[in-house]
Amino acid sequence: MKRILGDIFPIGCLLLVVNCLACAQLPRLRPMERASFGATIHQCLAFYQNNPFRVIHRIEATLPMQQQSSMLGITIADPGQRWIRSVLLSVEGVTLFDATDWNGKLEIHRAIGPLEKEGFAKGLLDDVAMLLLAPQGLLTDVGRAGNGQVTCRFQSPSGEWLDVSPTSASSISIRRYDRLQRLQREVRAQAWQDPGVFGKTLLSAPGALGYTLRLDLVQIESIEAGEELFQD
Amino acid sequence: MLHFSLFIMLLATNANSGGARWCDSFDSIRKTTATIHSIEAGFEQKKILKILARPMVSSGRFVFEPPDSLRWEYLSPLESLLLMDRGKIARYSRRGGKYVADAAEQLEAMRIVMDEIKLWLTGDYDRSQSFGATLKNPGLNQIELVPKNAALRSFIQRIVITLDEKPGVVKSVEIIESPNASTFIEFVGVRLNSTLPMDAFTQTQ
Repeated sequence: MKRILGDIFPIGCLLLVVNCLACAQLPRLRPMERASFGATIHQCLAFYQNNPFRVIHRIEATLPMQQQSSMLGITIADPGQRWIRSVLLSVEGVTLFDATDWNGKLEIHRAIGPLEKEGFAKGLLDDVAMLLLAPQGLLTDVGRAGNGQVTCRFQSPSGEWLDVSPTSASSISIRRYDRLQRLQREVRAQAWQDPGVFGKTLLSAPGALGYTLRLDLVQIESIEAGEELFQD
Repeated sequence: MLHFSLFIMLLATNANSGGARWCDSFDSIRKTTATIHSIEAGFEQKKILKILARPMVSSGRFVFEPPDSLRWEYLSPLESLLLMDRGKIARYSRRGGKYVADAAEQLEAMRIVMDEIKLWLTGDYDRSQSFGATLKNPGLNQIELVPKNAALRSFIQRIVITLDEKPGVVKSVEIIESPNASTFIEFVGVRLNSTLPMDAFTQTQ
C-alpha cells in the first residue's frame, strides 16, 4: 500500500501542478481615480474596429505534445451585427474550416478532419470574436490589476469575464475567464500601423491540453458587408 | 494537401510521336509520360473564395523525379516545404528563420494522396480507384477527374487538368471544392529531364 502510494504521489503532484496552471482566478482590481475612467475605457476599446472588415492572418499553431501546424486564416466581420465568418486554409490552399457565427448562432459550412470535432467550431469562433470584436456585455469594473496594469472588466450575457488591459499605446493583453472565474484564454497583442487592429497576436489556452496560436496580420481592409457574404 | 501533388504527376515526357496529339487518349498520355525522368517548374496558385475580394495568390516551385520523389515548395506568402523522398514524406513550415517539421498526423492524409499520385505519374488517370477520369477533347486538352465516393466528393467536387500542346506538359490544374471555393494552379518555366541537384528532396535549412 505504501509502495503504491509512493508511486502515485509524484504523478498526482505533477497533475495537480499542471492542472493548477489552468486555475488562475479572476484577480481583484484595485480602484483607480475616477477622473481616469473615461480615458481608460477609450484605451481599452481603441483596438477594435467599428465597421465591417476583412482580415487575413498567417497562423502558427503549437498544439498539445508540441506539434506544430501552419495555416492561413481569413475572417470577415460585421462588428455592428456581431457576425463573423472565418475560413482556415492549409498552406496548400485546401479549405479546412469555414463557419459563420451569427451573433451566437453557429453555422458550419465546411470542416475537415480534426476540425470537425464537436466544440471546435464554437471554440474557434469564440476566440476570433474575442480578438476582433469589442467586448460584449456589461462593463463591471475599471481598475488596476496586481501588476499595476489598468484593466477594463466586462461580463458577457453568458456570465464569462473578459479583462482588457492596454499595456502601452500600441499593445494590449486580454484574459477570458469562465463563469467560475477560471482563466480560459490569454492574449497578448501588438497593434498594426494604426490602432484598431492587432498586427501580432499570441493567444494561449492554458492547461495540459492547451495550445498556442501565433497570428501575424497579412492584410486588413474595410468591406461593404452584406448578409450574403456570411452565407454559403 | 491534395492539390500540389495532383499536378506534378501530370507532367510527362518529351513526345516521340508525330501525327496524333499526345493528349488525344489515355494510352497516348501514358506513353508520353513514360520517358520523363525529372520535372522542374515554378507555379502560381490562386485561391478563390466567396469571402475574398480578389484571389489569394501563392507562388513556389517544385521538382519531381519518378516514381516517388517530390519537392513542393511555397515561397510566398507562407514559406512551406513538402518533401517526398523515395516514398518517405515530411512537411515543414518556416518559423523563426528556419524550417520546422509540421504535426505528424497531417502526413497520413498526404500518404493516401501520394499513393494516388503515383498512379497518375504514369498517366494512369483512368485507372485511379478514387477518381473517375474523362478526357475533354477535342480542342480542350483537358482531363476532368471526379471523386468516385461521396466522402471525397464532400470536399472536392472535381479537378480539371489542362494539358499543354507541348507533349507531356501540364498547363494548369483547377481544384473545385464548391461553387464558391476553388484553387487554380498555373505552371511556368517547365523543364523536363534536367539533371537534379543531389539535395533536391532533402531539407537542408
